[in-house]
Amino acid sequence: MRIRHVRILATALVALLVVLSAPQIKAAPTTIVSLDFPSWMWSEPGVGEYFNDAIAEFERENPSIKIRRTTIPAGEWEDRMIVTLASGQAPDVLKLFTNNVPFFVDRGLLEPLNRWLDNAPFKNRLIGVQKVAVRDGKVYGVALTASPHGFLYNKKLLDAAGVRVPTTPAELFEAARAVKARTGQFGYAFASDPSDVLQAYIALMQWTIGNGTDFSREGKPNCNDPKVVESLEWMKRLLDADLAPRGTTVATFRRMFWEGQLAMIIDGPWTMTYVRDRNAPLYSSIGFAPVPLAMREAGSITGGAFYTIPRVSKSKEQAWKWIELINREKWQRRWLEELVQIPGTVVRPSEKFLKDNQWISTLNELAAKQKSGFGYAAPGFEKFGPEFRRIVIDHWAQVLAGRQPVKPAMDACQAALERWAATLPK
Amino acid sequence: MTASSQRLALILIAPAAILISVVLFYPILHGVWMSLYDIPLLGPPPKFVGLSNFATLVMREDFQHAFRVTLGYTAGTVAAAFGIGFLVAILLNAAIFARPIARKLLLLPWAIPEVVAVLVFAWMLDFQFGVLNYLLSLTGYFPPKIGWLLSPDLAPYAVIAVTAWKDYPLASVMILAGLQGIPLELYEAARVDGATSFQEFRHITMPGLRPISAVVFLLLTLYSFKRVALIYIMTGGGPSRSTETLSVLTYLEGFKFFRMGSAAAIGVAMLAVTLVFTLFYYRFTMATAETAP
Amino acid sequence: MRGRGGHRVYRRAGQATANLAVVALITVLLFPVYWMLISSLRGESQFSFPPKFFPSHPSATSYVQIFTQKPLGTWLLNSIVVSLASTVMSIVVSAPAAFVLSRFRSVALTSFSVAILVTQMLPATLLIIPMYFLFRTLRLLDSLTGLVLVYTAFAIPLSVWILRGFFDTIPRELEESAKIDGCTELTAFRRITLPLSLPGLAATGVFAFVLAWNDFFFAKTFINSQWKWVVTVGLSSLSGWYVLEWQQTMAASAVFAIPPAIAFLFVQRYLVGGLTGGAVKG
Repeated sequence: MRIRHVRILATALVALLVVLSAPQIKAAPTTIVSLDFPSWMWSEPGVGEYFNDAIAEFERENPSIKIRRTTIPAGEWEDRMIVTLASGQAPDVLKLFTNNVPFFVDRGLLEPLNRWLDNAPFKNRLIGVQKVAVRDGKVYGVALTASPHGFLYNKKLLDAAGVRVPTTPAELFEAARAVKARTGQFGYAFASDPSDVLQAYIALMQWTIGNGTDFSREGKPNCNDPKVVESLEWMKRLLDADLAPRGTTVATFRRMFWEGQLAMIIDGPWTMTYVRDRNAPLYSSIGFAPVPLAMREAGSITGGAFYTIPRVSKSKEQAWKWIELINREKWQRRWLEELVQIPGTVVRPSEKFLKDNQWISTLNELAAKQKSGFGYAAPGFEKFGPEFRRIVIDHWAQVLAGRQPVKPAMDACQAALERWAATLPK
Repeated sequence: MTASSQRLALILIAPAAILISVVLFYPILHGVWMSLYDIPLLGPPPKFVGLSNFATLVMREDFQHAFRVTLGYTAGTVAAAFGIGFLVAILLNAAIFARPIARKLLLLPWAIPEVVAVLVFAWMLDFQFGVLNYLLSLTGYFPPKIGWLLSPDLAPYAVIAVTAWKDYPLASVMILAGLQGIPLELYEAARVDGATSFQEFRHITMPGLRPISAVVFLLLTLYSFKRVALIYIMTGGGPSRSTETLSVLTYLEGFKFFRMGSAAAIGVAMLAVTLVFTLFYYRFTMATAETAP
Repeated sequence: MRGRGGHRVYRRAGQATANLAVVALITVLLFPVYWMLISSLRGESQFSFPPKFFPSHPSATSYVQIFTQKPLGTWLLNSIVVSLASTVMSIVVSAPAAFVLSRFRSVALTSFSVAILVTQMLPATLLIIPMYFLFRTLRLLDSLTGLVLVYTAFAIPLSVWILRGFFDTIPRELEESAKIDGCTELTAFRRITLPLSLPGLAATGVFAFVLAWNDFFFAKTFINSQWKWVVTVGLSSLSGWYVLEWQQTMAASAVFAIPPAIAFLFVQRYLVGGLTGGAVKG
């Protein structure tokens, strides 16, 4: 009698497990191409529909291929992708941030695309940043978009404050002061919350690269370079004068900007799209200019993305079909004209479009003039980006908390980085 | 045990034993094995390094720092959670009228998921728009805006506060049970002898609570030592590593810096510390129990 | 004899004071819960400062938006399925084991109970890395079944401990007399001990449920696909780089906190017995 009970129990357990596993079994037929996109792409205005429409067309043309989307928040993208690839579970089409591409190429995780790209109709139309994905003649990705950061400003607030668009840090400071004094709104903002290490680092990059320097030089740490210190001191001055809000996350200041409560930021073109979609009346009052730092157009850092195919993908041919479809003129034009973003291939916009969105020409100029040094880790340390950034922000957080002035903090940072760099494998 | 009962016992306990062995014990052993290797997540294959992960561990600045942070965090959380739990238990025990509802309400923080607690506290402690800064500024004794999560000096206290908020119900439930287990005759006898409330408290209540307090301290300490999700979501270990406990460091080492072998070494070190602590703790409480009145 | 130990001490201080103090305590300690609810009902912009303690235009739009604009429905479904499955499995697996530990004695069994105690000390961060590799080999990554296994395994030690405590309180004589009447050990357990332990089973169920419901790290590390996310992962993703809607986040948090809150309220009476399991004299 007891054995019977045990058998019933065991069967129930097994049945439970089978039932729970069933969805997995059903979902694995071989014609599925899985496309991994970061979730910002879905919730960003317009982009969600864009991809839905493109996927619908793709599935119509390729009835044997189904596209499965997965989404991951932008902030976890890098870690999540590394872990996913390490677990041998790569998606078939992998969208990578531009600055992650070297990391993945270095580790041999991406499939060279030459055999398809050489015969592709769009191969000569790809934008300049494409060269990031080229290594020793092999091409590891196709540019999806380039998003150089620019200087976004609210004309109405600047006019109310009686200032012109700033072109130097000093002018920026004075403009912010005037905005605060005459309108009560914040003049400038950047990611001043150190808990999001990557965003805080990007804010520092905007100013240091904008001033023609960086946190590393010739493969060695460069934190206490006078230009780095000067850039960071400007940022601290803005905080201390309460012209930029402290403890601000990037989501907060973007929202403040499109709600018209913030006069100036350095950010990517996606924020323009947000303004247009969340607060349309404000759209015509927003300007997009080169950053008011020493390097101007050449000083903007880049976001952007690439399509890549992981080496472990089992549906590479099908994955390429997607890349081919999305690079057709129709979809590239829609990316530009509907989403106001720079597509991966060069598209000539219509006159009307340029008139309605004058800032796009500035955007194109920035994209053309920027250097290709953009990594979210200092050049030479791309493989160890997360740690490098952490060390820098650990010390910057001391400045943000008012515990140390910039120069001693950066000296300490330099020492820490040098000690750390010495432990790295060659 | 008869032979057939032995077989029965084996069958009944088998599923639990198998599940725990596969899902918990095997990974632990694997983890110990991993700590002897240098394992980058992607790229070159693992390389045997023996005990060098551990040898360098003690020397490492970040390990030492994380150890200090863990001590501070654990001490602060245990003290705060025990203190609040004690206060709650004493008051609940005395307030007969409010007790039924109050007991359920005051248990809520325990039930609330960690993620929710972190989000709510982060919002209340927000620098610009948080309600705590607003309330403090009303008293006039505090500067207008305090960066609770932005300052390396204050962030640890914020994290301790959230943890204590989550942990005090456990302490209060157990201490309350302990209070209600103290025999009434002791108090009556003391009353007859003319003892004051304070003397009753000191000579009856406190010793009576000792066994349960020992358990509470142990549980609170073990939980604090292991806590990672709460801290990681709230501050990510920062600012400036001020809230980077050993468990947070292990996670960063493994999943942000991708040095799995070294992460496993830190985890093994943590496990060793926990085991040693528990051992000494039991020794200590056994010894004092024997000498108790 | 059990007594209401401490209250005599405070008779002189006065019931009123004690009850008032409790009310004050509730106000302070439950303020975060209140704030969460208030923030979720806020109508005006979240950037208004100073914050109002009673929103002038309360509105429940956030609660609607979290289901229409964010996939909270999917997340909730996943959380419910995973938590219920692991609760059921852990009770089914732990009750027999607890029964054995309670009724039988042997060296092997003692070491088993010690082993169970040791698992309480295992740091999740040490476990998660080798577990990740183990699940990769078993092809259980990105699988809700895998999560159920993890949560069940984590719930077993505490479940066994609590249930054993409950079984210990039920006198063996009841089973003995049933056996004299012709029942086997197992039937006696099923017909007599189990029904008497319903409170213990309820308490165990709640523990296992809440453990699975609240987990963040394993859910985040082992699951990739967004449609398989549980609410903890989804909630933490709400504070992203592009949009941060505090009202929605607080609304989703409130919704997520309700099931464990209710479960705890129902079962809190039995928590003491299970937890203290003998440490309390009397």
